[in-house]
Amino acid sequence: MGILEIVSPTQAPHVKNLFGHYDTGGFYDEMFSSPGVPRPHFRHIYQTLSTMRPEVFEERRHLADLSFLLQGITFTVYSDGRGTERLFPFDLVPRILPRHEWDHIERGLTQRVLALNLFLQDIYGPQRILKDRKIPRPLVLSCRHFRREMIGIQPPRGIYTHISGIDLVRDSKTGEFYVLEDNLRTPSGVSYVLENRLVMTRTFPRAFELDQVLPISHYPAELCQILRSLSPHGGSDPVIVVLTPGIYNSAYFEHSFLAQQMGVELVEGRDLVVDCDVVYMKTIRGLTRVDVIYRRIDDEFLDSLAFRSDSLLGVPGLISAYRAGNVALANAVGNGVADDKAIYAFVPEFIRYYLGEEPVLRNVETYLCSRPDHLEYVLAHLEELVVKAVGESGGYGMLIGPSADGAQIDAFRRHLREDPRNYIAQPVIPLSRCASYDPASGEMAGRHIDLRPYCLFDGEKVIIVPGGLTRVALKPGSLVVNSSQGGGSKDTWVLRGDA
Amino acid sequence: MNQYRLLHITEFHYDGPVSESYNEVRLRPINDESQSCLSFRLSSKPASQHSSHRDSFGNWVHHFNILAEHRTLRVEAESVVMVHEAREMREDGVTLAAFDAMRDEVADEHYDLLEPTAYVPHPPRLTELIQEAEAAANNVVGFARAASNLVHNRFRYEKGATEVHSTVHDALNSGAGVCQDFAHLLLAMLRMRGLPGRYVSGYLVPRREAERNADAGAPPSMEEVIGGYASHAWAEVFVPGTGWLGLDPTLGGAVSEQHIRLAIGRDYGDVAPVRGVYKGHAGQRLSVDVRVRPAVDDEGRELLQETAAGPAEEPAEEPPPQQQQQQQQQ
Amino acid sequence: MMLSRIADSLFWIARYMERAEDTARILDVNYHMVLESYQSYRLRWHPLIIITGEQELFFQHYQEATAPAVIEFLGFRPDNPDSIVQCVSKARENARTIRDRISREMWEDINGLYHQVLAFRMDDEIAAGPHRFCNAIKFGCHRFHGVSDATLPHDEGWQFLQAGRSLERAEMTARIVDVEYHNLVEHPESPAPPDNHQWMAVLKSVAAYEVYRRQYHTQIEPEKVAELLMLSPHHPRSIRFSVAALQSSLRAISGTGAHAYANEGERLTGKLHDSLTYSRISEIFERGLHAYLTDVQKTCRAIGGQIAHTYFYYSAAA
Repeated sequence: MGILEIVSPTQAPHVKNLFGHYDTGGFYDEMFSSPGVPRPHFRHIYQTLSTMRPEVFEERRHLADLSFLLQGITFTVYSDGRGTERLFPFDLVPRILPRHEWDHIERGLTQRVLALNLFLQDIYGPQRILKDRKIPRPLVLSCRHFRREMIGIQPPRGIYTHISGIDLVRDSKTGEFYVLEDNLRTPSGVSYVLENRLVMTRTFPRAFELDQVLPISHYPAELCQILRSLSPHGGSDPVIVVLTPGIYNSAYFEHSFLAQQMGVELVEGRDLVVDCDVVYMKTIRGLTRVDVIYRRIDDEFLDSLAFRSDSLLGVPGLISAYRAGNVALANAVGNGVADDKAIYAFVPEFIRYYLGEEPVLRNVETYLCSRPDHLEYVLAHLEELVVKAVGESGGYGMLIGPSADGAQIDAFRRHLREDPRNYIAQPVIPLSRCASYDPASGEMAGRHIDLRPYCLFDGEKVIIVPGGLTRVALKPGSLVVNSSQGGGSKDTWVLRGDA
Repeated sequence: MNQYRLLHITEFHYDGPVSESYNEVRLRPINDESQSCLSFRLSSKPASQHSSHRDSFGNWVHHFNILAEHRTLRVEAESVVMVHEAREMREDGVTLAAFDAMRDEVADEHYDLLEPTAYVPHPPRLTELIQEAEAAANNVVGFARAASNLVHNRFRYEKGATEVHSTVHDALNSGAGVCQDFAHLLLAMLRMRGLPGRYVSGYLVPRREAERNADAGAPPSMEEVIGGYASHAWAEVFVPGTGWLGLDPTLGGAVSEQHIRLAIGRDYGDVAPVRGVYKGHAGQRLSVDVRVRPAVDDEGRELLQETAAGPAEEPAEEPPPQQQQQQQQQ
Repeated sequence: MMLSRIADSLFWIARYMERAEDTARILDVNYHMVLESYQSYRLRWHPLIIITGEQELFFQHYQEATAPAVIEFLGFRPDNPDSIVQCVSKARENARTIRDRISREMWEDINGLYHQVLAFRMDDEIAAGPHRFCNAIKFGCHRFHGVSDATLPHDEGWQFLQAGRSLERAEMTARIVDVEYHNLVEHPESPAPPDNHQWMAVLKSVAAYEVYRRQYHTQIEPEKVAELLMLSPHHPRSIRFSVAALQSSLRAISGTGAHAYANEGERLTGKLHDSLTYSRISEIFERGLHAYLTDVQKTCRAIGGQIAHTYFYYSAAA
């Protein structure tokens, strides 16, 4: 049985103004251009919040939490061994992007998604980029998520990256956005984007009247449209399903949410059966053919026959059906080779190689520990770098040098020497901050944030709902925004204009 | 002309009913410049429809499913193969020194066949054996042959010393193994020296049978080779300028026209002849029966004599039993 | 086209909710009856354990069927699969797996009930009496059915929900009558004449006390109680009424007309319904009440198995 933790409203010390002790702390602050001076696009929300009585804010915050709890918008944490349901903390202060900044981001993401899709087509096809030696073959073939089983399989309409979540950060030093990592397998979080917006419109309806915020609610319809277009027999009414590992998966709420929003069936592996390379679902009237699967199960668990796992989550025979062209999968199998953190370093090169363009959004400088010269540098500068395991996601397998103790650094030094291919290192980026509510003091405080827009690719164009998920590191000073590591989220507004 | 008819029968007997069984087999002989697969037929009982594809090594993979409950599964693969004359292993080709000069280029091209794998790790204690092989020859072919002979001479052929999941470590520890282990050991030595190597699964036609095929008048014999089992495994080494050369560390020496190739890969895991999953709690027993006989003789008489029968020395990989769908409610 | 797993979950959500409600009812009524009578609690609390069919498990943990023990066991124990908290948790767990297929209001309602139930502290309920807790369950279940009726399309999914509730209720009422009759009439320790209070408790636990009064205008007589709870065509918790409701749901699912059946589950349901319709209570007593009710319970279990076989568990035609 899950235990749900909800924090009751804390009685904050007597506070008169939510921004009474706000300090930008020398970081790029999304809300303030200089202490006390809000940026033009934050003007209205700042006015609303700075004149709001703290008790009123606290009450609205409690209502928002309650709304998430009652809807069961929770995720499950297994670290304590029994599966605790937690609310993904939601911060009521929105993160606002002016139009010109968003346009720039959108151009950069579009370009990046196109190049990544072309890379996947190439690497599971003719491998031109290897023959042209734009990326070392061993680096690609040694990726844990490179799927040899996919070589020669043509995914419907050539699409691999139907849905990508690309993490961006703003560097306080330059004020510029950088790409931190690509998530091309089963990126999650878009349900929070939609639910956060819903809660915000209920909690601060007036703010939406003052600011013209671009809508995002069309995401499920856009996704469904793409899934529909993948149908192997091109019929007008394909059977689409969302495949989930089940309620014990941390993102189960999202799977269920998306199925409901798209009006399609949510299935588990045990609901499906493959016969003669055709996928069916088990209904009360017998078997019904399935045409398109939006799967939220990782590659290695998808088909115990093809990937030799003993997992019961997937559907044996599924890859055969996929290979035979009788069912479409989104995202494609094998995408993990393109979001490997070592391959990441070459994405700007992909953009140049496949598109003949210069990257709009830059990468964070990256050291590949598989290169002896880089490894040497990394080992000598562990205290100032972030080290990441290449195949991991969700903030696991990471060392943040400046805040690590000697034992952690020694452990990573060993890991790096034993298995250098498995690690990359990057300088610590001083992430920009945004005003966020601090329940302990009952006041606003600057907290580090990132941004994960969700990009849909329909084979021709990239569709990005304006904004995305702003994740916020709620612990003072923390740079880790992952929900599993104490992060929360904010609603993200893209304004119709610049202010 | 070395033309053979092969019949490979795999039978699973389950203790209880199983259902939703999915299987993939690599039983169709390779068709390339060194052998021709003239015909291939696959059937199962209970009956099923199968489809096929080529894996990333070019092997033919056939797959089929059986949804209904069953207690036994029989897979029958029948093929006719013509083996061409084996390539001569000349030792006057690329020297090891010349090879080392182009090593990076080869490594880039054959990355997959040089990296350690689950079955073929690269244990440092093989270094001495590699040095011994290097002392025996200064060229690539000579080194490979010496390595193969060292494996042949230093390890004991012993059934039961290892099992289907055993790695090079296990074989080194026990000092013994079967052809699968011998092939893995040779691959480790080749790869650690920088030479691309690949694992070959196939059949070995008993010698007398091969001779009789050449001279159809001779009386059939039942000579058993390496215990009388026809399923076999060996390795191939990549020689720059020449291509792939087969070496049989179990028998010692190079491959001959008696070696029929079924599939190639990085190690046994890539080429397991029969692999499957099913639903059901049942345990299982497995029997494999491989029969090789010359194809129909000149006068059209069917030659019925069997050459080998009994369980193959390497059982097909055991399918991981799947749990029955649990009925949660009560 | 409805997934088998979803039909299965809907069926079981309704069964678990009904089980929680029925258990809450007998627990609540019993507690108050014991307060009003001087009878030894062994006679009153022990049958409850038998009704829920978990005697063995109970006596692994307790020596005697005292009020605190029974309240803990039937209300809260996590290792009793039929405890109220467990039933609500399992109903909510099933709802969670199909939350995309039920209305948002249904989900929020059952999720709300779950959190409400978890918030009850067992020690308080034992000290103050379980009425508040039992009432919350009872009305939570009513509300759930109300929300379902008002927000879920009345298609086959809704019919599975109805079928689950009807089957569970028929079986539960059969058990209540069986155990109480045995306890109060046939039990050697039972004081003679049978205590009115206890039969009142039985009637109240299935919300039939007022109905009985109106219908029979007499003293409470065990045979009449049995007749009302087993054969009444109108009382919503009688076995006959529940089986009729089950039959109509099963027919709606398969699209079968009257006087026919499409599968074994429907056949068994029809046969049981006929027996309940055309039997007189005196005939049943002649044959033996216990034997009859045992048959009813057996048939209910068989029907459940057949529904699962027909609709929930896929197996390829051999």
